[in-house]
Amino acid sequence: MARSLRVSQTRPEASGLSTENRLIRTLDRSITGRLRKSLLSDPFAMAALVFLVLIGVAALMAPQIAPHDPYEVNLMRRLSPIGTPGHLLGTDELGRDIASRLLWGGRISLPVAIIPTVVALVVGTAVGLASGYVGGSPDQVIMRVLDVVMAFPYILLAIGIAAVLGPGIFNAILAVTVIGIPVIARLMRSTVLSLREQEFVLAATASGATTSRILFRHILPNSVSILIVYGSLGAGAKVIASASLGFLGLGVEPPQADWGSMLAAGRVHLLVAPHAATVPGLLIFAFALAFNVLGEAFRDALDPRMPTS
Amino acid sequence: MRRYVAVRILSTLPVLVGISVLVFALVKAVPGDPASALLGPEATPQDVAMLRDALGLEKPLPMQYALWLKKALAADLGRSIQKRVPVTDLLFSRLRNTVMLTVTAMAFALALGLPAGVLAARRAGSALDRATMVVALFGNSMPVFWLGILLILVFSVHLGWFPTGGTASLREGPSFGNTLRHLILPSLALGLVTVGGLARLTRSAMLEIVGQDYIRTARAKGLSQYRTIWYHALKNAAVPIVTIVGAQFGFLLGGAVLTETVFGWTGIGLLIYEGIATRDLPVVLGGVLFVALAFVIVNLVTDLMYGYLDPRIRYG
Repeated sequence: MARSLRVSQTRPEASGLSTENRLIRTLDRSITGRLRKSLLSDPFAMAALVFLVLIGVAALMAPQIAPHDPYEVNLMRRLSPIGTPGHLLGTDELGRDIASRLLWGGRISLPVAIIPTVVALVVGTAVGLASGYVGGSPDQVIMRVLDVVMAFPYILLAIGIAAVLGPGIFNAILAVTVIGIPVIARLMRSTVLSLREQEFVLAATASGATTSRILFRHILPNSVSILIVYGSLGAGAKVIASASLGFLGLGVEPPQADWGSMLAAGRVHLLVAPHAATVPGLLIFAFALAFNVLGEAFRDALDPRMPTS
Repeated sequence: MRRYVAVRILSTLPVLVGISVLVFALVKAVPGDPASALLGPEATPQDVAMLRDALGLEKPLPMQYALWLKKALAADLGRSIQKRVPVTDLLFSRLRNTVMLTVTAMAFALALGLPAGVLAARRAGSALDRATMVVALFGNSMPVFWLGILLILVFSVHLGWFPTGGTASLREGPSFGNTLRHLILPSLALGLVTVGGLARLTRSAMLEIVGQDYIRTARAKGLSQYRTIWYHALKNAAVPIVTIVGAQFGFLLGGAVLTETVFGWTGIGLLIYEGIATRDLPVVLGGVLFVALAFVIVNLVTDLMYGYLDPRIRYG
């Protein structure tokens, strides 16, 4: 309210927009309101959120809470099973504590999944907004470039990029980001195209609002719900993609480990010690599932028109 | 129809050019000088310079791209650094296995996903519908390499029904049954992570169709539920379903790299993995290019099938 008052004082021509501003702000509030409601009414979504927060906190506090040094080799205790005293989740092929390695691995697996999600969301939104609003040949060029990226089968381009750049956390992040941008950009573009023709945007244009004002005060706020939904569903896909790179040896280099590379290392000892591969895999699965459950709950809460498939 | 086919084929050209530019960019992004890599550490700077010249590395980039493209069109993607044979020979020798894996996986996914999607749409909100949703959610969240490991543990290690990996047991010699036993688990793993998504997309395509006027008419004139759904609705849902199948092939082709790695299934995916492990980048990039081209062809074929399935598209 205070903000819209200030707007109408400083910009007399915008006084007609203050009601509209307030409407947009009401919409904002109702988005958070609906999200909160969907979380409170859906125990699965709530559990998913709690799990994600716990996993984040656990990874952050790995140095404090990890029971062992994740790099401490003890060949006497190699491949100890789950429940071994002192090694809750057993040990790996070098006798390193799996629980500690998972906690430390989270400090790699979490950023490699979450940073690409955020960056792809920001870059994809910017590209989609610009492309959809400007239209014409720049739009055509951008869309054809995105087509090319999307013409590569799922994750294959990320494999190519990461393989060329070599293993490393930054390269993995870059590779997963690149394959995430086109989906968001296209989604944003189609949202812009439909919103651009709506009365409130036409009215804003007619009353002389600047392009940036239209984009950031009118179109973007109305796309927030779509972005939230696809952001969280996209995070689930990024978890899988980044774990896949780790599994293929394109994550971090040993002795550091992300969850995907721990699974790959444990796979060799499947017959004697199945836990070395299955436990990291379970964590990857739970992590991706949590994002997807959250995304679906948000979709149901934010947009009844969005198809539930 | 001929015009539709021609237009559709021509329209894939820009995508093909784009893919080739992107892969060429990756080739150029490989760190280190290819000439010094080929000649080894004892080479004099003069030798390196001569080879660079001979390889065309001193030419401007667009020129280098043109040379690379010309070679690629003649099926020359360079030589494997490790195996010292042309990359395309390796790719073609592995092609059969990858096609077998992805097609069987798609067959599994279709056999389970299509009926599940149709039934879920028919009884939207029912237990079956919700079960389909849960399966789809799990499939979307399940890394295929982890599912593969679980299948190996259950069906190979504990039950002993299937071999733990490989393409065929050497003891038995090549036979259909031998290959089939090795094929089932990997294609099941790859198919199962796809089936949920396929079912949900089928469901929403069906729901869209079921809302149409002609379905109401079919019901109104007294056709049985069975005939309405399986004849009228499913036929009209064919176009979106074909689209879905085409798109899912991309997912399968990417997932094949991971699945083949877990099961030691000697296809193109395993070749790419071996290339990554030994830093044999010509093999990796050749494989990426090859699989991307395969996906473009699959998409082209699905598009051509629309024209066949739905005459309105042909003339539109």
